[in-house]
Amino acid sequence: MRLSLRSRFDGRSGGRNLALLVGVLAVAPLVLAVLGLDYYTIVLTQALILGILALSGDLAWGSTGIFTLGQAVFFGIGAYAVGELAKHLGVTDVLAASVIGLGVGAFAGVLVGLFLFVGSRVGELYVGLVTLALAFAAERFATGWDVIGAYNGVPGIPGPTLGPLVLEYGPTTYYTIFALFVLVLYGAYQLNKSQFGLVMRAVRDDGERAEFLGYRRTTVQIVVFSITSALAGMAGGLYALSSGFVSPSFLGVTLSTQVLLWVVLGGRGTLVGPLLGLGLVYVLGGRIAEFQPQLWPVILGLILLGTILYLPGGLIGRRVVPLRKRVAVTTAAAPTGGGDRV
Amino acid sequence: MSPETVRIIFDTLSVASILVLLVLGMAVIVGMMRIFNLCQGEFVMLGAVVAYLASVWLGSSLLGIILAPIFVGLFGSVLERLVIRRFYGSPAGALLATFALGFVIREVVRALMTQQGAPVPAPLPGNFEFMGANLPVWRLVIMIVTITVVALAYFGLARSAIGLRVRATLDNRELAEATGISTSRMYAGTYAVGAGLAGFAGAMIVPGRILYPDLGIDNLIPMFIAVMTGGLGTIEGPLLGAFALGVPSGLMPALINPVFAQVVVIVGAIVFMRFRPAGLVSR
Amino acid sequence: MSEAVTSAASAAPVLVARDIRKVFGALVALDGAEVSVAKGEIVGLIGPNGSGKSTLLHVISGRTPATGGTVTLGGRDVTRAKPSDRIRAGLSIKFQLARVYLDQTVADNLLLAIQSQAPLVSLMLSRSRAAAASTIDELLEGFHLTHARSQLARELSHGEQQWLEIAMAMALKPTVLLLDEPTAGMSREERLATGERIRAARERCGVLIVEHDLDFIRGLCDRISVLHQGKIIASGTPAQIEADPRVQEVYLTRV
Repeated sequence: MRLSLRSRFDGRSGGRNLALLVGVLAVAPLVLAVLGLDYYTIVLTQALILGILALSGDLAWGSTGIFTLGQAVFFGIGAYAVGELAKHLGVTDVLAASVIGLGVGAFAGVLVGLFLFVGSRVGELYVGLVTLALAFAAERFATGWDVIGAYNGVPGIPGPTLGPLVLEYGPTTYYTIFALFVLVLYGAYQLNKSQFGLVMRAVRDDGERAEFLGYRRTTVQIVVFSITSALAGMAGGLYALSSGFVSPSFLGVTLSTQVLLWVVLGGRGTLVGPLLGLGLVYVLGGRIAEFQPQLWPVILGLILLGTILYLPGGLIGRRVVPLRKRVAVTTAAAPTGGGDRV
Repeated sequence: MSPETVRIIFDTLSVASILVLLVLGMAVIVGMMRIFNLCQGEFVMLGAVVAYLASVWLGSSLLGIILAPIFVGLFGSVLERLVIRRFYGSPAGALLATFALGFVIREVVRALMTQQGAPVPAPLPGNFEFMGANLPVWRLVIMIVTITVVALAYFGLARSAIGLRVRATLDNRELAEATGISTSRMYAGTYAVGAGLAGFAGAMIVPGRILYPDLGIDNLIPMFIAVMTGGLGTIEGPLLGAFALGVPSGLMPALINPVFAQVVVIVGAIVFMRFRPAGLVSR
Repeated sequence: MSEAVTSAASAAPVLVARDIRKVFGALVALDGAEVSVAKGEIVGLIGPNGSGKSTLLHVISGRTPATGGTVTLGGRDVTRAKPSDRIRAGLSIKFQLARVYLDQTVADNLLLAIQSQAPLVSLMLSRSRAAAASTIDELLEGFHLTHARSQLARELSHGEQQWLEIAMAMALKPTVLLLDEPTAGMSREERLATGERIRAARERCGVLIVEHDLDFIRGLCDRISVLHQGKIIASGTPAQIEADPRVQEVYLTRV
C-alpha cells in the first residue's frame, strides 16, 4: 500500500536536528537545576527511556513501513524480564538490564516476525491489526497470570546500579540513561543512513519492486522487526528499573498506540520527529495535564487529528512537494506497486 | 439438562449475540466499505451515552434505544462528510484519522462525565425461570433483538435492491457513477448506517451495566478480530466471525480461567487469520 | 543479420519458457505458450491486446504462478521460485510503467539495483558504497543521466524515468533482460536512443522485448514470436513474420 503519509527522509539530512536535540538534552538537567525544577530531571529520564521505544517504532513503521501497533508487547516483555531478575536475583545493573532487554526483545521479535512475514504476503494493515490484537492479548494474559503478579504486576523493583555504583534519582541516573539513549540514537541514525537504510525505504515505498531487484523482502522485514523489538525490550528493561515497578499495562494497547501517536505527530521516518512527538505528549503534555487533566487529552486528540488532516508528514516532516516538482509528478503519475491488501 | 448446563448455554449464546450485535455496524463499515474504522468502538459508546441520557432526562432507557441509532447515525454522517471522505483512497490514512477521532470522542466524553462510571437502569429488570435456571430477562431480549436485526440487515443490505446498489457502488465506484448512482451520497449513507447500528448496539448492551468512556475501545479489538476472522466483502462473513468468536468466548470461562479464555480465543483467531487471510466467508 | 541469428540460435538458451498454461477461473490466458532466448539474442514478443503477453511476462518474472509448464533460467528450473530468487538467477525486468523509487535520488535508485545481492550485514556497515560509485557513474553516463545524479527520481521526465529503470535493470548484470514495452510514451528520438541501448545490452545478455510498436522492434529483433489467444502462432525473423499470412490476419490488420 502506498500511504499518503510520506515523509522524505533521504538518509543524509536530519543529522543536524538530532545533534541539536542531543545538545539540548545534555544541558537540560543543569538548566532545570538552576530553575529549581529538579523533579523534571526524573520525568526527562523516563522520557529518554520511552524515547528508545519511540525510535524503535519509527524504524519499523517510519523507515520500513512495518505498521506495528504492538511495540509495547516487546517493551513489556523486556520490563517483566528485567523486573523479575532485579527483584529475585538482584540484577540491577543498567548495562545488564539493557542486554537482557535487548535479548528477550529480539527473541520475541524474531518469533513474531517469522509468524507475520514468512511465506505470506500479508498487507500492512493486517500487520497492524495482528500486532494490536497481540498487545491486547498480552495485557490480558499478564493480568491473569499469577506467576508474574497478575493484576499487581511486579512492584518493589530495586533501583538501578552501574557496576558498583548505586544510581540516585536525579542527574546521575539521567546521564547514565542519556548515554545509552545517545548510543541507540546514533545507531538508529547510522542504520537509516546506511545502504541498508536505503533498502528499508525501498521495502517501505514499494516492497514488490524491491523483490524484483533481487531483495528478499521477508528477510529485510524480519531483520528490522527483530532489531526494533530488541530496542523496545531494552527500553522496557530500563523503564522497569527506573520506575521501580512493572504492570500489565506495559504490554498493552494504550502504550502501543502511544508510540503510534508520537510517530504520527512528529513525522515518520525522521527519528527526531517521533522524539519531539514524545516530548510534546509526555513531557509538555504531562505538565499541562497537571492543571488541565480533562481538557488536555481533548486538545491532544485534536492536535493529532489536525496533524493527520493537514500535516500528513508530521510536525517536522517535509510534506509539500515544491510546485516546480509537482509538474513532473503529475505527468509521470504512474501507479507504483500492487493493490492494497489486508 | 441440569440448571447449571442451561445457565452455561444461555451465557454462551448471550455473549455470542452481544458480540454479533456489536459487530453488525462494523460489518457495514469495515466489511463492506473496507474502512478500518478505529472509532467504531466510540460509536458504540455514544449509543450507550444516548441510552443513559434518555434514562436520566426522559426516564426511559428504552426510548434511548430508539433514539441512539438516529443520533449516532447522524453523527456518523457528519464525520463522514468532514473527515472520513478524504481518506477513501488511503486505508492507512483512514485508520489513523479514525484513531484520532475515537481519541477525541472518548476524551470529550471523559471530560464531560462527572463520575467514573454511570449505571444505566435495565428497562426490564428481573429474571425468568427456564428449566430450573434463573436467567436475566434483558439478556434474552438482547438475543431476540440480535436475531431480528441480523435478519433485517441481511435482507436489507445483502439481498435487497438498495443493498445491491450499495454493493455495486462499493465494488466499482466509477461504474456506479456511470450508471447514475450518486456515489458520494451512497458512501455517506452507508457509513451513517454502520455508525447507527453501532449506536443501537451500545444502547442495547448498556442497560443493567455501567457506562464509562472506555466502553467502546474495550470492545474494539474483539470486534475487529471478529470481522477479520469472518472475512471482508460481505455482511454475513463478519457476523459469522462474531458468532464463531463469541461462542468460545462465552463457553470457555466456564471451563478455564476467564482471563486466559479470551487470550486463547484471540490467539486462535490471529493464527486462523494468518493461514486463511480471506476469512471464513470470502467472495 | 542472418549470421547473427544462426550464431545466436546455436548458443545455449538462457531463458526457456515451455508449454506455459495459465488459467484464471474459466478463462484460459495461456495455452501452451513458449518462448526462448539465447545469449546475445534479442527476441520480440508481439500480439494483440488480450493475447496473453502480460500474463506470459508475469509467469516468467514470478509475479503469477503458472498453472502448467516450466520456466528455466540458464538451465535452472525456476518455475516455482520467488521473484527475488529469479532475479538472483540472472533475470532482470523493466516494467511497463516505470517503477523507480520516486522519493529517492537517481543515484540511490541505481545503488539499490547494484547492491541488491550484497549480504545485509555489509549493507548495514555500508562497506560497498565507494565501490558502487564508479558503476553508478558509468550507468549514468551510458543513459545520459549524469546531470540528474542527485535529483529525486520524481523530478525526471517520463522518458528519463524509463531510462533510469532500464539502467537499474542493466545494473543487475542480468543474463536475461525482460523489457515490457520499453518505449511506451516516448518521443521518436527517445525511442531511437532506447533502441541503441538495447542493442548495446545484447553483448552481455539475452533480451526479450514485449512490444506493441512493430516498427520499433522490426529493426531491433533477431526473432519475433507472435502470441494469439494464449498460443504462439508464428515465430521467425522480422521479415518472415511480416510475410506470414496468419500473422497478418490476427495482428497486422488490426494495427
